[in-house]
Order: sequence, then structure tokens, then C-alpha cells
Amino acid sequence: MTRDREPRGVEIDRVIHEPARLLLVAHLYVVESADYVFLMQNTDFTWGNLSSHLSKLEEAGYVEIVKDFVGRKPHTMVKLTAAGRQAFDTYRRQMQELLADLPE
Amino acid sequence: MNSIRLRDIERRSWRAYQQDGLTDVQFGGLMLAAAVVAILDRLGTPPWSRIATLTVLAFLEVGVILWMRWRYVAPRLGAVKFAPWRVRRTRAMRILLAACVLATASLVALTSLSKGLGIALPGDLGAWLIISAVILVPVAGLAMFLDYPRLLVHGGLFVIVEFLHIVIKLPSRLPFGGAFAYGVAASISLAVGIGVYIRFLRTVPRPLLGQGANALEDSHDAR
Repeated sequence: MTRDREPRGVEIDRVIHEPARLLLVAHLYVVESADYVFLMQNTDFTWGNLSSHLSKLEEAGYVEIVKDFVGRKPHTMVKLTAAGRQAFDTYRRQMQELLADLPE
Repeated sequence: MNSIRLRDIERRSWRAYQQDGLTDVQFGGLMLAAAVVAILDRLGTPPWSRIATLTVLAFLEVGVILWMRWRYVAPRLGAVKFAPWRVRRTRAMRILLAACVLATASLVALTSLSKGLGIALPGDLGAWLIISAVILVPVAGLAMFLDYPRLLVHGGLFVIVEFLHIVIKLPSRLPFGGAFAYGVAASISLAVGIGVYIRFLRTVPRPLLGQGANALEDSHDAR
């Protein structure tokens, strides 16, 4: 099989494709930024799960962890980076193309 | 199972911040304050003391609601900055509310100055229709904007009470009739709000933060 004949979808981003991370990125895509409690409540992830997946997304450069203080307490918000937003857009387009031509 | 539809995700996140029942409590509190003012009115206290009482009660209520949100709601829901289009809609909503406050103030001023200026005021039914519009337009706007149709019930209660006041003239027919009408409406709104708030506290527990509130920050610092 030549490279031209490879099935579509082989270039799908596996960082985003993992269901838990897909849910996380989808939540961050529709808002400007959110904290950990918000993400835990909306995804039903445990603290450990969330931490692990956010670390992977941060390593890929898809999320940015922004730390500041609210009063004297440290407060951390998570934000999708421009690269993360772009990656999610690409993923959406690829999945739409991949699934659009399926026979009934 | 969580919905992965982006529109649902955004809507569910937005609605979560409006469905703690405290907005219903706020409406009930406003009507309760109006009942207190109606009692003071019946007792023949001067207008300035009634206005002062209403102002103090309104500020007190806002303070209590903000404290309850900060103390009990925020730790459960977390913090989020919504998308720019939501921010734009919030701004548009504030402009609408400001316009309604301005309209209310103009109506009050017009009523006060009507004799001096020789302006004929509408009859009781006309006055009630105008007041109803001034109440229902912002409430309907808020209900639509906040995705919170229950607000229309509170707006409807306000309108019914004003009908009893202006058209039926309940305060002159029944001792403390005005306070009674506001009190009943306030009780309904407060019962709904407190019920929803208790359900919210029960169904949305504070998340377990594992090693502590800064566990994730610590793990990021360690890497």
C-alpha cells in the first residue's frame, strides 16, 4: 500500500484522542479558563486523574497553568493554549471527515 | 455519562452557576423587604424611614447572598471565566437592567411631578400595566439570558401582588393587606429558593482534593 492510499485518520492526535483528555479539552475549549474544582465537578474525574491528564496536556503544550493569589490563598486556573485550541480544531475536523462517509 | 457536545458542555457549565437557588432566595427576600415596608406604611411611619428600611434590607440581603455564594457555592463549583460571547451578553443584560431602573425612576418622578406639570396619569389598570412591563421585561431578559425560566415565576408573583395593590386596592380593603400579599409571594419564592439550595448542597458535594488544596500546584512545582 502506498502512502497515498493510507486510511484517513492515521495522523489523529493521540494526546487529544484519549477519551478523558478529550472531555477535558472540550470543557476548556468552551470557556476562557477554569480551575481544578470546576473541571472535577464537570468531568467527574478524581483529583489524581485530573492531575495526571492535565500534566500530559501541559507537556504537549496544549494547556497553560496560570497561578495567582485570591486574597492570601493560591489559586490556579487552567487555560487552553493557542496550540491546544488549534489541535482541538484539527481533531474535530479530522473526526468529522473520518466519520462523515460511513455507509448507513 | 458526560455529554461531549460542545454546546451542551458550555450550557451545563453556565447553568450550574445559576441553579443554586440563591437567586430565587434573593427575589423572595426582596418581596419580604417590600412586606416589611408595607407594614411600616400601614403603621404611618414617614416615607424617608420606609425608603431607608428598604435600602438597608436590600443591601443586607445582597451581602448575605454573596457570603453564602462565597462560603458554600464557590468551593463546590469552582471558578471559571466564560467565553467572550458570554461576557458580551452579560454587558448587554446590564445595559437592559440599567435602562429598566432608569424607566422605573422616570415613572416615580413623573408620578410625583404630575400634578405640578398638569400631566394626566393613566388609570389604575394603565399604571399596573406599565409597572408590570417594567418588572417583567428585565425579569424575562434575565430568565432568557441566565437560562433560568423559573425567574418568570417570581416576576409573575411580583405582577400579581402589584395587581392586588393597585387595581384591587387590597391595602385599603384589608388591614395589613399589602404586607400579607407581599408576605405570601415572598414565602413562595423563599420556599422554592431554599428547597433548591438545600438540594444543591446535598447533590453537589465539595470535591475531594486528595493531598490538599495545593496538591496539583505542588506536583507541578515538583516537576
